[in-house]
Amino acid sequence: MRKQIKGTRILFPILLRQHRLRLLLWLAGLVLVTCSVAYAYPEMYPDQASREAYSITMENPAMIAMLGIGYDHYQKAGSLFALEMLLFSAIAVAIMNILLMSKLTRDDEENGILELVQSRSVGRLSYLTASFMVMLSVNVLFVILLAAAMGSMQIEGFGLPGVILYSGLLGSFGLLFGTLTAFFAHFVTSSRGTSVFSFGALFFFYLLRAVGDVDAAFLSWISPLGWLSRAYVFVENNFFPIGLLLVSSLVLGIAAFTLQAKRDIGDGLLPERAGSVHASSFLKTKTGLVFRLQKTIIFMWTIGILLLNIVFALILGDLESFFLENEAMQAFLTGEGNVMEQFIVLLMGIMALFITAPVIISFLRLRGEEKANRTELVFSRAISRMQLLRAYLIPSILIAVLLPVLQAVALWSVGTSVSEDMMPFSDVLGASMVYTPALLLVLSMAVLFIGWLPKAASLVWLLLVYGFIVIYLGDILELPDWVRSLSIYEHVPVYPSEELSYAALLILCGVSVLFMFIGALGYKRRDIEG
Amino acid sequence: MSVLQLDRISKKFGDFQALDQVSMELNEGEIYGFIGPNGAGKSTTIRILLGMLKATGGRATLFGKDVWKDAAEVHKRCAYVPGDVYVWPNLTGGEVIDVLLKMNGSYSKKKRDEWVERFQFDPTKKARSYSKGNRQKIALIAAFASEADLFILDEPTSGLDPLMEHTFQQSVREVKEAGKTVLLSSHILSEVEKLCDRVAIIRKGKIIERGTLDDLRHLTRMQIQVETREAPEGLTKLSGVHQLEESGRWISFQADTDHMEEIINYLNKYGVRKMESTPPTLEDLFMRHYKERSSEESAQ
Repeated sequence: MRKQIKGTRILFPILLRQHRLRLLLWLAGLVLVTCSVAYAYPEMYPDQASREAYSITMENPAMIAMLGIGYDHYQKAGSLFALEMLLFSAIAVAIMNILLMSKLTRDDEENGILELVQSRSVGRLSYLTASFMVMLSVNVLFVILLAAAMGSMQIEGFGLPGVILYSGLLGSFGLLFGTLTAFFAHFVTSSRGTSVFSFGALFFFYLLRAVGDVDAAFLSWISPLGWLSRAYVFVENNFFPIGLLLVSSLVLGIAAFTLQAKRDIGDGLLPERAGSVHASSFLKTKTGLVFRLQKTIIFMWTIGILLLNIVFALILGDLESFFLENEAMQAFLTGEGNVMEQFIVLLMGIMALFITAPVIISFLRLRGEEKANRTELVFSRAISRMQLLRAYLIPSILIAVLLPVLQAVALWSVGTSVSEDMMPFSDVLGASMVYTPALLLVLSMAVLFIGWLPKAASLVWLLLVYGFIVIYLGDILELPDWVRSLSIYEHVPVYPSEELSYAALLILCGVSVLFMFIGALGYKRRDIEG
Repeated sequence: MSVLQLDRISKKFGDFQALDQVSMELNEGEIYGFIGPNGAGKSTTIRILLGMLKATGGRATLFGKDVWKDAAEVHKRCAYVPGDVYVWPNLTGGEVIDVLLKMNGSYSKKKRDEWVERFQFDPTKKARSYSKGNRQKIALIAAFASEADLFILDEPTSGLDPLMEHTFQQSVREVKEAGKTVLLSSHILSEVEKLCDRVAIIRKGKIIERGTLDDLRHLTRMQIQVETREAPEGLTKLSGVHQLEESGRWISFQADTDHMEEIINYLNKYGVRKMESTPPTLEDLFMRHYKERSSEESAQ
């Protein structure tokens, strides 16, 4: 065994140094957001009455599907906080771990780093061991930081055991997904494939828990995301789920190490088929090539977004009967229009954030290609800068236009089958499509970056993160209007509750076109790296 | 007619002067060697030619058209093979070749398949599983199967085995016979020596030498080995004789070409029995240039 992990001590600090900046930013962001939200809770729900009012807004199938089961009849501010924050914080921690581990395992193997290291007097399992140590340290550090920060704030309704359990749950959930990623890394031959599998698993577990929490509790017990709410954190403080998370991490970890010891370097366990000798005529078009390069990721996002819509459509019937019974519910959705309408408007706002991801991913691929030195050969052919830029813009624009249409079709057709009072299709379509100009604006910002500040292109993700913070935490953090208005998504008219403002949409579209144009100008003028 | 023309091209990356007034001209139908150590500016020059980097000074044209403004248009007549070929990992080699060919318009399927055959390339595998040499074959096949008039080859054989290298050299000769022009940047000096009509040597962003191989040889020394009846005393005192070594009757030394006449006359007095002379290889030229320049610089 000793022999197998020889050299780990040298590798560990090197790997840690590779990722420390990004990880520190992740940890700082996670701790900061969690603490500032926790700090706001006792003030928002100072007495039992306000907490019960909140409980009414939460105890409906839609909210349960989105956030998980409520518990404790909303006695403590802590349990409200956990209901709102635990699930999505866990997802964020999982994303951090998936990105980290797919880089540390398959990505380093794909880039030949592992081969180089392995050629030295280094054990077969050393690289994986060092990677695990990095991932483990990050999660442990996160638990300590979060527990210390939240504990030291001594917020009312947030007992110390609860704080420790809450942090521990997040840390061990991160550990599970880091391990899961290392496990998946053995099956495919690319880091892209590894993260697609891992994110897919995360998404699948979310859906499983959503259906389970609403309708069939046993499904939630299959999903690690379902275990989280079963800790009844801040109330019963049940540490059992941490045990479950750690044990499953251990099992997956052993599997990952066993496979690593057996597998050939560079090889994947899933078989690869022999490919075609000639390119299809679709692939030979510029846009066809761009589509082909990203077909898996576009397909995955489309399926994911449609599934989410179907899950939420399925509970629309329940939602309606629930609201009929609860007059007080009207307080929750404060806008105009009936309950279902308001729910769909809210849902479409959140889904627009999700759809932003494939729009950006697809376009930023252009930058990824440049960094991977793959645009060099393309530009050595009779392809102009504008032609390549256009080839990358078309799929992104199509996603921004077609995905909202597809989602409206999915939501409406399933919704109509479960509820007699489903909104007319044109309204659902409108509520969904109204976000397309905002999606285009985010895309145009990405074009600006690619054209003028290519090294900082990934900053465009901040627009999405910020939009998410404003929609999800805007009320809790009592963000002033001007702070909210910095989010692109806040400028989208609320349809169908409000009169459709074509002016706003036209302005969004106009600004997008302008930015795309300016960005394209920069792309035409600048040096290409590779 | 000049196919490729660089006129005092400069390129700065921030404060770093990557290229300093590089000029070069390629005539139709010639093979032009472009040599220099790593980081001297060969790839930067080529990337400027391909319109990927914008020169900070000077003018560069291909077929009389600006390399930056008319990049896509002039590339219809160009084919490029980089030293490190990066291609889309999830496409097969065959697909990548087709995609690259199609980017320049229509192409002959027959020709493409012939070149695949010639380089003994298996086009069915995903590109991520190819070795460096096989990825290079992708770019070579796409280049040779194109209807190009100018081939820009940037260390195109660094991953090929000797057999494939031979195929490559053969292909370059055929291309030349067909009246096409080749710019060959290479580290393998014997290859440049075999193929190129003219050569330019670049160092730290400047062209330090250019001309036909014969021109360059005139600037330098012949390796002479000679056996004489009597030991030629005082040979070292003669100007133009360097690095004299004696082993028995054999004497070997390097001779400056412009002093050759005096040296031969001097040796004749001692009764020359056998004599061998070797022209300097490109490698000798190259090494000498670099060694001398470096020592000059360190002396300053």
